[in-house]
Amino acid sequence: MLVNVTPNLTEEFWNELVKPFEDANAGIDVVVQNPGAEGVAAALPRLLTAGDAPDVVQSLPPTVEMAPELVDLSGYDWATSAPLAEQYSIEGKTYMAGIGVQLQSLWFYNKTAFEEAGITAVPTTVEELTDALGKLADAGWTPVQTGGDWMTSHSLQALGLPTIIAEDPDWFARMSAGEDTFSGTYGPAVETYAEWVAEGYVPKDALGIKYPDAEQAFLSGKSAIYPMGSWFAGTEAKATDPADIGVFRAPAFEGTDGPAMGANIASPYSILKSSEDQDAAAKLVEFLVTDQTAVADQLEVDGNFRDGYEYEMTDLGTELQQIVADTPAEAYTPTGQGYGERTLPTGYSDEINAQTQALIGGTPAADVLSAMDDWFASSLG
Amino acid sequence: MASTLAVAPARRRPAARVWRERLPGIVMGGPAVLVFLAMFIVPMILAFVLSLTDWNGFSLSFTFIGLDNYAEAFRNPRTVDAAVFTAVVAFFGTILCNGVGLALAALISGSGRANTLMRTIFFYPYIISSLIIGFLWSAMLAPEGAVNGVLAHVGIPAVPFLTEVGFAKASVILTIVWSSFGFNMILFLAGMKSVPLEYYEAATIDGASRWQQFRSVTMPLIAPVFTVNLVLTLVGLLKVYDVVLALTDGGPAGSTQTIVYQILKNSFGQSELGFGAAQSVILLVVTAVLGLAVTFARRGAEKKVAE
Amino acid sequence: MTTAAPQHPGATQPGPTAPGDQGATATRAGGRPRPRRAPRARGARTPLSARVVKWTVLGLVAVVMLVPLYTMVINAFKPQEEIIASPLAISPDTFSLEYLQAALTSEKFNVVNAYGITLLFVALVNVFGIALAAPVAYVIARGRSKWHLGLLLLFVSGLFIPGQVTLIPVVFVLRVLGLINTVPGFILFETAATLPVTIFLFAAYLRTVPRDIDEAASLDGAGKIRAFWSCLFPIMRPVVATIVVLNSISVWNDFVSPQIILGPSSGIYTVTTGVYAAVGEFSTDYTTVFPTLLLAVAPAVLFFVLMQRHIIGGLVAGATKG
Repeated sequence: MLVNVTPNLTEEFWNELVKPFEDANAGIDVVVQNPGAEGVAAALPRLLTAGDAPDVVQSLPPTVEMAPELVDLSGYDWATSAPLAEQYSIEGKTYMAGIGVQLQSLWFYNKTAFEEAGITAVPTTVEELTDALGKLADAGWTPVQTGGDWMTSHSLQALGLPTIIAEDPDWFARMSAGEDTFSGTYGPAVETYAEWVAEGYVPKDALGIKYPDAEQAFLSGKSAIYPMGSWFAGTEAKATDPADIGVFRAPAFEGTDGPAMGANIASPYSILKSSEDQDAAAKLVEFLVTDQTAVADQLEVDGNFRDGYEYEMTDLGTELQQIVADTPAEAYTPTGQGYGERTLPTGYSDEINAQTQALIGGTPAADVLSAMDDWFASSLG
Repeated sequence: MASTLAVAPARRRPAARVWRERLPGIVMGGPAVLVFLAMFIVPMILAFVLSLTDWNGFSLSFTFIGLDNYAEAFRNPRTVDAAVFTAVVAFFGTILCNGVGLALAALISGSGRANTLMRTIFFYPYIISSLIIGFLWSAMLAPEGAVNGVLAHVGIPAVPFLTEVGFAKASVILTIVWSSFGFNMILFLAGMKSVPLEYYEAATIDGASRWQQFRSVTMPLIAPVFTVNLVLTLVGLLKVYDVVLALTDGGPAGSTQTIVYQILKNSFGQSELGFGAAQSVILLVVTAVLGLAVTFARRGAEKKVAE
Repeated sequence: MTTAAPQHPGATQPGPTAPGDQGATATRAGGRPRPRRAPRARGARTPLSARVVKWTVLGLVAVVMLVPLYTMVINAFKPQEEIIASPLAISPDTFSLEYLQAALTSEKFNVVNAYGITLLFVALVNVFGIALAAPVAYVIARGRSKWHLGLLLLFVSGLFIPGQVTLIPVVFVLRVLGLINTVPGFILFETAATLPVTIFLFAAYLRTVPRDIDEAASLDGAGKIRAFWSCLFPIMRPVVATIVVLNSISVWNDFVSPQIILGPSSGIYTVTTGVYAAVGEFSTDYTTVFPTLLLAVAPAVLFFVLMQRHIIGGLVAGATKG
């Protein structure tokens, strides 16, 4: 089994998690594989190419491209009834089973910072958010905590997607078909972001900050707002003496009805066709996505949510649970490159990330928009 | 293929004898040829074939798409940027490595312990893996790294060595120069030491200054070493990857991605193996053409010296 | 590889060259008296001011070269805040061996193991590379037909093929052979990668060895092969030493090939892939970075300092031969 190892999901965690399963199934030995610095998404294609694929893969939602390599799980109840199973299906077939939902379009905030800046209510529109950032900056806070590597574009997507998807639920499909342009849809978000950079709300030196450092900086109260997925709640719950942290859903621009909420499947598991022991693999996945303790443990450690699988939550967790309760199913949207049948061309995540870094580096919004348009043109070529 | 070893000239030999004489040559040459074919020639042909397909690296099916991947390589802004940056690295890197290497070689060409010590100090990074060099300099140049730490003590604000496009590009080039000019220097030193002392004596009698001696005696006589240095550095820099991976990981904003970085990313990270293969073929052709071009261009210069 | 690896002496014309591993290029050692080299024992004539300038420049460059090494060493024994606050100083108050200890016992990167494995790889590649290259170089050096020239050109063409370019299709070849993710597969690729330079240098060297030696020694059939290994190979010692230096450095420092050929499921880490796994995304946790780098670098640097005369001599001979 190839799994993602992160600051939350350590190798020890994985080994502990599968231990009851190994005890119950004497014949099955679960080997946890750590893909190292490159991550599962980069390692799996290489391992497939090398003919050395694992039996079970965690954290990689199926794509149209990958589907032929994966075992069709549609016949298993535990797979079809798992969270977001339908959103992630490809041509009506279920290729994965996940443990819960992971929210993406969130802004975590430091309550102390908001008090000091005199902000009494959390922003409900992008315009209010921009005002809030200004107040935070005036109060001497670093308004937005972001960083280098993959996390740079998280903030831009949290800023853009709630509006873009609310206005055009078929955005992913239309972009992939070349019917919409990036500049035509993402334009206002990119311009707002460039403005934030120009105003110093997004610090220029953010690119030198790695993910673990960014997380640490926000937890210890060095910055005011941190755009991150719901798994941050898991980190917060484990932190010793964290700052007083709250969360609000990423707002849309003024006048948008029902802002979309980026959500991913939490910890999806897939079985590879190349596996020589698909039955054992299926048993393992069934255990991982249905066993009360196993699911609750996984949800808790990464701050994810699922009905009927309760665990002891912090206040922050409760706030998130409320957001989940308030979000209608149709408001959920993929982020990044997308999933299921709502996907963008390969390499989109890297490209939007690189272009967000360019924005932080001071590249004008217009240049970034035209670069993204060029990228789409050449990728759809 | 291999025929005979040191055979005495013989007319018409019976076939069995011919084979008996050829056998040792085949036994001796065969294994190396097989290994070379399997690990160089077959993969090269495979790379070319793959470059004409849209294979993702694991599917059972793929289609031939002609030269589309090559067209994509020239059209994709990321790839073009990477090619330009690689060219910049190769150009400035070659000039700086050889310029610094030559200057320092001239300064420490004498014998004596101090010179040997300097030689060791200038050269040692060469034996360290580029990946580790990259990590070391990334720790030196990071926003909270050692260099900015020292600058802070003297009251200079942090310099975005790795986080601003222009600085990051320069940092990559200078890190490469830091770690490898020593190799060029060593070759120049060897070239200088092979110049017979009599030449300098004659020049001194003619009243030539040290600088004149360097220009009219040393430089022409080390022309062949110069060629070797230029070609080695150029060919080496065209495939630079490890140091970039560790130092900037291609960032910020993808500005320091090189061709090899793109090849590996496209091939494995994004399952566009055909596209990666097309870039590989292009790099191969460019490397061979540039390497040979510099060699021939320099051969002219070397000949002039010989006359 | 950042550097112009010395694997590309293809730039120079093949031809008879001097045996011997010193840095000589232009000289033929064939028993002729050597011209005097230029030791430039003329320092006394240089004005003092020029010497001051010269040594100031050299001193500054030396500082630039040594500061990263110094930083790495001292910061391997300090806590994070101390590293950031005063990167170039070390105080006895915060000095601690715990970080080095942690790096030494890190789960992600077993340094001792990695050293053993990498050394083993270096040894195996050297043995196989030389065992394959020496006989074929002999065949090429002694042959007169167009086949032999063709063979030489075939191998020399390998000098212009960047290793990273063939690596992707090599993965498939190894997969077909069932050797992907295995040590033999990795050794096979690395050995093949050493062949072009090795054969090129060996053939150039053997051309300078008079034919009477092998004619006197050889009878026929299997005798020729034995004659080569027992009589000629020992004569090749200097060039073999050069090749060992070149190949050892390149195998020791290689990162991309082990990273791709030996995937995570093989569980095998060399020094470079181990450092990448350990430092990778946590490259700003300096209490991990500096001790890990120190452990990875120290033995290689010590070895270099002790053996530098031979290492530099070997490199020079390798790159300028021909």
